[in-house]
Amino acid sequence: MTSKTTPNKPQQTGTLNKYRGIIFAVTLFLLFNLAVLGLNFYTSSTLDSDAVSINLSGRQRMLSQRTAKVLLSIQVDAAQGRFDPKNTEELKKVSTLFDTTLNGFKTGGMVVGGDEKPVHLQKVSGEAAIKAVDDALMIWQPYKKLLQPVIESSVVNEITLDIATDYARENNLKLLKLMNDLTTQLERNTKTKASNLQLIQTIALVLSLLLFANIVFNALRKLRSADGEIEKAQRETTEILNTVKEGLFLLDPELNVGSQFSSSIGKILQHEVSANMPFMPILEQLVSAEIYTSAKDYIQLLFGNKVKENLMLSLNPLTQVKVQSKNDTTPRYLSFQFNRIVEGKHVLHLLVTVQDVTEQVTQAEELSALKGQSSINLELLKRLLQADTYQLQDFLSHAHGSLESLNAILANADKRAANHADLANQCFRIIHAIKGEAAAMGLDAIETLAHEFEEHLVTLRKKSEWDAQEILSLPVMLSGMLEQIRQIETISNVMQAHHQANNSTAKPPSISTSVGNNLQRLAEQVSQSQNKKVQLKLELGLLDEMDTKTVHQLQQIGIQLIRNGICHGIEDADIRLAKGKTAHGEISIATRMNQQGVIDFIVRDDGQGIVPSRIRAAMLASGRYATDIVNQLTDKEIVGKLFEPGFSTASSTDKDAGRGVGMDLVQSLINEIGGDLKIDTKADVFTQFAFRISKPAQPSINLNATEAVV
Amino acid sequence: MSDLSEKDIEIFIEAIGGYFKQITKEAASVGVAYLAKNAFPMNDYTGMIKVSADYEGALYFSAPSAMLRHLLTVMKEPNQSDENLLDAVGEIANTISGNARKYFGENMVISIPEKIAHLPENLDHQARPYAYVIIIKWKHYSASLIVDISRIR
Repeated sequence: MTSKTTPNKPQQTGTLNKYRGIIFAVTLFLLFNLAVLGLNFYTSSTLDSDAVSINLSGRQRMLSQRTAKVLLSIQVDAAQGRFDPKNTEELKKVSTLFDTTLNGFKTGGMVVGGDEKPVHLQKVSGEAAIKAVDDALMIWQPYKKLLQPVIESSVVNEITLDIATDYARENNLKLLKLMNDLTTQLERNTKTKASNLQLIQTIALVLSLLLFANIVFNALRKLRSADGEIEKAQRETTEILNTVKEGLFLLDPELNVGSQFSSSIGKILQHEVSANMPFMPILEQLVSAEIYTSAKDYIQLLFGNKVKENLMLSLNPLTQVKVQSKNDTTPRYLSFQFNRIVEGKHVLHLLVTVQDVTEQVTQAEELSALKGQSSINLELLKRLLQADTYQLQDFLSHAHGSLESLNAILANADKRAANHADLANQCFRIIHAIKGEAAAMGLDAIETLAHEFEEHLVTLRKKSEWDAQEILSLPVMLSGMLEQIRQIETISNVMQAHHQANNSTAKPPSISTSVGNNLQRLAEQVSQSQNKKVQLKLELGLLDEMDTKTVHQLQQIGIQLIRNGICHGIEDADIRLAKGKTAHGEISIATRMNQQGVIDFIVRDDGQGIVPSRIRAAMLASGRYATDIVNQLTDKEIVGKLFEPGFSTASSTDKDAGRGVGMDLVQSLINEIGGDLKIDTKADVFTQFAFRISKPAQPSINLNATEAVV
Repeated sequence: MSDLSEKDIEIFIEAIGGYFKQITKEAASVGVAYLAKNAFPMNDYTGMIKVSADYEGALYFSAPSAMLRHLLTVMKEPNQSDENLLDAVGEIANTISGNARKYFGENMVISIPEKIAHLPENLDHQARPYAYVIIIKWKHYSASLIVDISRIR
């Protein structure tokens, strides 16, 4: 395993997504401020233009008075017989300026400004200002015409002059007032604009502040959340490091221990460990000089990054190493694993995982010693190491008890005056149950022994008299099975002793889980050997509330019915497909409690069903039953035959079926439980076995059931 | 390493059967056979042979006095003292021993038979977790053959 910290595109995309809200808010803030700035610029330029208008409007007042004053001066000079061309010139200048400015107010355009430079004058707006300009023009147009001869003539025409002067006297104040009104109106307009601008600026400022506050708030929230996540991650890392059983730490290229390490490391290494502490001296104290040198080379090779990590795994000299204990004389074994942490092509650290494997090593040694003493095979050892402790103990205890019962049957055979066939049937039932359970546990050796025992019993069942060798064969086979079970008990005890000695805190699985696992394993095995596709659905929660004896009986029933369901019920995949079913057959096993608290045990398969005509045909084909006897039996009697010992419809026998014991055993177990077996079945659709745990009765068989039966 | 087979045990049974057949013209037969780890069906007189080499343990032939008396009678032996009854059971054990020696060869070293009256039903030391118990029938009598032999090599 190699860890890489190389940054990549998805990470960047992730960061962008993470801060999308903030980025959006900042962009909005900038756009908003740009808009406000633009508005300010526009309003300022408008106000500049308004200032020009107000100035020129003020100048119009002055020009109207200068016009009148110069006109009167010309009249006074004329009365005294004088003529001053300067006056005429000034009259021309001021009247022209007044005229262009007034027309500028009316239509907008370039006029001469206060500094004698051309300036753009805006057309007036607003009803009152327009009226003032229009009224002024009404007075000014005739005034202008009357002034024209005065300005153009180099000789004073007293009549023309008097007419003009009279008009000036009459309208001068009116014109002044109108220009005053215009100025006032322009000032008012400008003031309104300035107020609006102020309001807009205030609103923009408030909005801008709100946006800014939002950005700050979101940023802080993100930061706090990020800080919280970092803190949480750190806390979790610390918790992991404090609770993990393995010793974990990082080793830097200088071979120093990193800043974070699991709290168990000190205990495992039996050496105090702190951050930045050199690792090699600790290792040197633990292992032999030879292993130490190899380990040092190996670690340096790992930092070298020239050889692939996977290729180097087998070179690790610390995979399972015997270590020196400080105060303990018993040997300890540790396992060190090194994994590169790579950034780019550079090995940053090695993640070192240290485990105390003393238990596994000593257990393996003891098991290996046991193996030397007996004929236990490795496959059996593997199965036992994987086995569920509860199931194994339960199986061993029941198997032992059952074999003791079988032995008692053998010991009392002559006292019971039972015939040999009965004796064989009794033994058969016991061995068949053990075989089923052993198969479910995956204990192939016992399953094989039991199968051989069954085959032998089949041979014996056919004989009315047994010779000495045949009588003797039964305890010999029994002894073989007991010996096998004794060996498993020995191993199981060693495993349990180790388990207890090491105070294992691992919670054992619940009884229902344990039974479920067994049934699943059995279903897989049988369906594989029968070359069928089967799914097992389990609903066994109520087993956790039952006594162990009932659980064991129900498990045995489950085992037999799964075998039967797969061997006789579920069709081959191609047949199922031809029938319009799914290729996978389904077997469900359920424990269900009704409202009265009574528990039902239900096993159902969606196979070919129990069909009396097929059983009849199979009985006749087997040649073991006379035609007339078979024909005399009713359908229910035919189905009832399934429960007779030795009865089987299978055309051949194998490890899974064909001995005709399964249903006999099921009936006998249900009788022990005191149940009331009910069989519902429909040809090519389903078969359901159900019984109530607690009520003794005879099986009731319904051959015309509907699928709705539960 | 394999445990005792049916054939191995049969050697002991055949020895007993052969003995009765030869002496009384009436063969002994096997009644029942089973396993036991205590409460062995010991009778009044027991002949015991111990084995070693590739095997360990012992074999017991235990017969009721009535059976042995009947046997002595058939053999026309008027002295039916305890000692003679012990000798009779010892003789059977000896026969078993001879047959076993012939069958197992040097792999099984067999001791001189011991004759014990009223041996307790529980053994002091047991070689097998479960010993074989074979009930031998002769006429209406039942004797016990207890095979507590285990192969160790």
